[in-house]
Order: sequence, then structure tokens, then C-alpha cells
Amino acid sequence: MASNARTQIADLNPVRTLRPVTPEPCLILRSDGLQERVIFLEDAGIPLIFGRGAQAGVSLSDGNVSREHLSARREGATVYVRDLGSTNGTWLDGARLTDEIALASGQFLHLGTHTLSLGWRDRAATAQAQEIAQDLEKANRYVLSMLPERLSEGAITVDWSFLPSAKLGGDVFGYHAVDSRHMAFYLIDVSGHGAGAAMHSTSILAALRNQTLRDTDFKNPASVLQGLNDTFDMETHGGYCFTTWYGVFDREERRLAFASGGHHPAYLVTSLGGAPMPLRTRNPVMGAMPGIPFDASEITVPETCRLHIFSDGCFEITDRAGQQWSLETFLPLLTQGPEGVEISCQSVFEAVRGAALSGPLADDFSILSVSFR
Amino acid sequence: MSTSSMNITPLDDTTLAVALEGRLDVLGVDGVETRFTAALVPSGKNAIVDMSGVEFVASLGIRMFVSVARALARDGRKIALYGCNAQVAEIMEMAALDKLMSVTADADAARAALPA
Repeated sequence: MASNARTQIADLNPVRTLRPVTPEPCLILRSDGLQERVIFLEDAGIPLIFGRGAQAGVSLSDGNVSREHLSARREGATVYVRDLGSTNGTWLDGARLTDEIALASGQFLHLGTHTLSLGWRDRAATAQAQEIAQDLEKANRYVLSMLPERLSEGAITVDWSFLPSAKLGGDVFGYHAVDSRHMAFYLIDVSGHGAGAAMHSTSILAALRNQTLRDTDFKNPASVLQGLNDTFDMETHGGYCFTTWYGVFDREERRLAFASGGHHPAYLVTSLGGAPMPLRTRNPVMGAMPGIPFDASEITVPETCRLHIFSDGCFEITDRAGQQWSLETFLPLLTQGPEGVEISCQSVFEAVRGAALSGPLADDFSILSVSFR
Repeated sequence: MSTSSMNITPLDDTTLAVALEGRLDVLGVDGVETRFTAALVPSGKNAIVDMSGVEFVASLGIRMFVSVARALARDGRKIALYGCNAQVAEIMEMAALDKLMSVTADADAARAALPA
């Protein structure tokens, strides 16, 4: 039997030897807004100095921390900590440290805005986890770099707000000039989170922004959705499907052509008031079935109105009363606010964040709002 | 902890009956997707899925159904969902899922939607 390419590749992989996990005592440093940091100490080694100064072994950027604030050393399984006469002190259970102590599990030292606690971690596994965390952070910055500029001046202004539910999410959005007369606006929501969903969403975004879909008229939303659907077949893209909303504004005719695939409506809010106008065409989720046709629609854009395109993460929350929100619960947020003052996307986010249970939102929050004047 | 559960029984020689319960959110889909897929795809049978116990479906749930429907379609089989509550029915409507598989009101209509 002839071996195939996959079998040949598998045969080249060496058998891996399992390495025993060896936890060591270490210090876990937590600082506001930053990922926790694991600090290993050498057994019977030179004490490690925590402080604000450049000479400190662990540098803490905090005006409430002295240049040399605290020292830590390890003797076998015990970690000893000592305040170095700092100005604002090192605190444990409300008491200021005066002598060296052996730090016990479950105790938290406070110095400035930082906390230190005792942990037990395997050194190699920790290094691997930190490397993965750094890679995820780089990927997150890459996704953020692909999001568009906000436009605050001109006949068309753009605002947006974005927060992935996990380190990396599946939402992206954008806009670009298709030509001198037409401007496209779009949002993509890939099912799932993490690196795979983020890679897929950024691939789709690049295809739209750079207009690289084959045989596609980017002024025609039905053509664009068909191109996306045929190009990003879920069977050849890691099993990922996605929803999308794509619209093209014709500046001369003041017409907005649009199509949505598996996505809830975008909404148009006019200066005349009234309920937000839903804009949606009934097409299935994208990537699920190649070769199918897509429907589009179009409207005349009123003078002074706002188009809100958003992902379902904006309304698929459970609030603090334990109630599951729906699209109808969310819609009033698009029209609230002081009279004559445009709602900002940030204020919409804050309203949703304030209503939701504490902890990460259940899904990525993305909203792109376009004002036409 | 999973927020969903699943029960599968053979309906006849050609069809499996699946009952899903709970929330098909991130945790819920994680709790049933492997078993759901493993039970239906290699079975050689069609499937009807009772959705009456499902409170909520997120995009990952939609993806799970679409993925299985696609796999069954390769050899002419089908999956039909039925009994969605109002909120789930709205989510299915937004996804236009009925363009990819049968979404019906009851079990009889689901069975009628399957190939003979």
C-alpha cells in the first residue's frame, strides 16, 4: 500500500517523552489592568528587589512604590519577604510589614497598586504559557490595527466601539471608498472566538477592503455576498461560518444598497425621530453552502441620519436581573441621549456593559455607526 | 459546566430522533457538539431534532447545525429541526436557517421534510 503525504509527515514526527511537572514556589504579581506575572526565585539565591528604581530586579511603574520597596528570597519551599523601609509601606491583612515574614499561601501583600501572593508553578510550563499569552497579545494588536479610523469631519462621519469577549474575537468591521462615488460599510461576525476565528475574520476583512474577491462587483452587495460565500466555504476554512452586513452608499444618488447574510438588521435612525428603520435582506449564514444566490435591497438615504451596524454581541447578554436580552431590548439605546446630541458608540457600549452581569461579555461587542449629512 | 444536554433514540431504520435541552451558547455547544456530530454523521440516517427544550442558540449553535447538515447532505441525508420557542425561532429566522435545512413547527412536519 502506497503511503500518502499525511502518513509520511506523521512518520517523521519523533515520539515525545513526557516531562514530569515540578512545581516550585514563586511570587504572583498582579497589577491593575495588566496580566498577572509569575516571578521565580532561585533557591538560596540573592534576594530579589521590587521597586520603582532602575536598579530594581522587578521594576514597578507606580508613584506609590519606593525605588527599593521590598525584597524577596527563597529558602527551599519557603519565600521570605521584607519591606525595605519604603515610604508607603508594604501591607498584609491591613497591617504594615515591619519584619521579614515567610509568605503563606492565600496571603496577599499590597504595595502601591500591586499585589503579591505565593504560587506554585512549573517553570517550563509557565514559560510556555507566557509565550502563548504574548503571541495572543500580538495577534490582538494585529486585529486592532486592521480596524478603521474614526472619521469626525465631513459629510460622512464614522464612529465605532469594539471589545472582544475573549483575548481574540471573531468580529471585524470597516469601510472603504469603492470608487470616487461609492463608499462601502461592513461588519463580519465569525462564529466562535480565539485565534482561529480571528484569523478567519481578518482574512475576510482583507478581501473586502482590498477588493480581491474574484468576479465580484464591490458596488453590488449581492455580488459581494456571493463572492464571500463562495470564497470562504466553511469546509475549506476550518469549519468556520460567519454572518455579515454589507452596504454601499452612492454619494451622488444618495442611495444605500445593502445585503445581509445570516445577520440581524442594521438600523437607520433619522433626525425626524421615530423607530429605527431595519435594513436587512434574508440570506443564510455565509460559507455554509457555496453557489447559492443572494438578495440585496436599497433605500434613499434621508438628510441627516445615522446608520448603525452591529454584532449580536451587543444584545445577546444576560442582565443583572438574570434576563436574557434581545434585539428589541437593545434598540432603544440607539436613540437615547440628550436631544440634538448624537449617541456615541462608546456610550452604547457603556450602557450594555453596565446592564450586563459582571465579567466578560458573552460575545464580542462591535458597533459601527455612520452619520450621513 | 455544560449548559446543555442531549438525548438520542432511533425513530426507525432511517431516522434518529434527537432531543436537545438547555442553552446552545459557548459552554452548551461545547458540551454536546462532539456527541451530536459523532452520533449523526456516521449513522447513515436522517435526523429530526426536538428544539422545544432549547432556551437560546448562539452563533456556535447555528454553526453546529450547519456543519452537520452539510455532512449529511454529502450522501443525500437531511436534518430537520422542530419545536423552537419564540426566541430561538427568531434567531433561526435571522440566520435564515430554513434556507439550509428544514425548520418546522412539530415532529410530524419534521419527519415529512426528510427524504423517503
